[in-house]
Amino acid sequence: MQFSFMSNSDVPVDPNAPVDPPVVVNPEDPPAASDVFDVVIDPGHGGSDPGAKSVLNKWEKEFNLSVALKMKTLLEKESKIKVHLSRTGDTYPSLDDRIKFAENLKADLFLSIHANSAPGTTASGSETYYYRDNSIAFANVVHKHLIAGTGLKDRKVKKEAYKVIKQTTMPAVLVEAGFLSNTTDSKILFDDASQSRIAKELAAGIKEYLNVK
Amino acid sequence: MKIFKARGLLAVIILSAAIAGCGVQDKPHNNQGSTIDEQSPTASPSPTPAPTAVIKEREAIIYLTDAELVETVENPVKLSYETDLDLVKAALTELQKDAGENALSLWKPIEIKSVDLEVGQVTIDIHLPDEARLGAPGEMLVIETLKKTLFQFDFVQAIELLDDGEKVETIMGHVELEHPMKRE
Repeated sequence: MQFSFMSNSDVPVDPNAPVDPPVVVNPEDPPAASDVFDVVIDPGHGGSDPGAKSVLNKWEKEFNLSVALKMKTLLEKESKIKVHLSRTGDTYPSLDDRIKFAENLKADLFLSIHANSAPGTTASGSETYYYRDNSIAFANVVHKHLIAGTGLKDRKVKKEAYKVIKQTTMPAVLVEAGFLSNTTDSKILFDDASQSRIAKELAAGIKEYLNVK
Repeated sequence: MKIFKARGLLAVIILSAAIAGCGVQDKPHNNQGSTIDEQSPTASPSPTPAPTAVIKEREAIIYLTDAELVETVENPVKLSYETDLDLVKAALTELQKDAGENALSLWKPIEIKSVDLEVGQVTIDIHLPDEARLGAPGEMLVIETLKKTLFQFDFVQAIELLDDGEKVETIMGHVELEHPMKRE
């Protein structure tokens, strides 16, 4: 206590200190990395892995890709966002491939798109998963928009160790838009206008989180 | 001399009685143990030859899920079996059955091709029909209900789950599968 008081009193006495002490971080330095945000959109499943089967006889991989492509179109209009899709066709990159894809890009955000399925036909609604603490804020923003997009029951934000959101390092979430084992949910998820609305909301969620106007 | 002989004889009688007593005592204890205790080793050669098959019975919990897919649901059942491997197979059979509207099986549509038990490790080879694929929470529960169901048996130390004989990264595209899954 005494020591710090003495050194403090030294500072104003020193006449050879016209410039500020070098404590302040130079605010002029632009954070170059955040000029353009790299966003990875990961349409779940694909190719040999069709994902869950809908009661309407369509497959989850179709929904995931359709929404991802719609999001890509929307986000490509943003000059501050660069979109990267882990797949653009009916192929199956392994979970490791998807993680490496995002890590190699040093992506700022990772959003994995999925649709749910349960035994029985009762379960319904949308949920958003995160695993690491640095993803909670992103999960909350995305989930708010997901619910607005699907209009389905709010099954909340949850924490679970799914591989692509666990082993990536940037804020990463996995959305389960609705249950393909439920007729109401399925009709919404495979309706083109609904898919556009979901894509628009998810894109808005990314923009909101990145503060891109 | 006479006294000495008599004492010797007495000793022999006492000793043989003790041995006989041990044998008699041992039998019911052994039977009881094999009925209740699931810890009898299977892989290592069993000390009891047991030429006649003894049907044992024990209670076990089978883990299912609720209709909303939010938690595991416990279904207590009685399983009949002869060997530890039989017990595992009996539990897996139950794992593939629903037990009411709010106790649903996550394993019902999964085809179990083979089940083996060796040195504490259960190896299950499955075939996953595309119709059996679930969402992320469903896949998590497929793994969780399997682990909870089989690890309640003390002799199960690890579970190796194979997909058409392969050690796959994931069975349904969300959860990384451990090879093998070990008791926590």
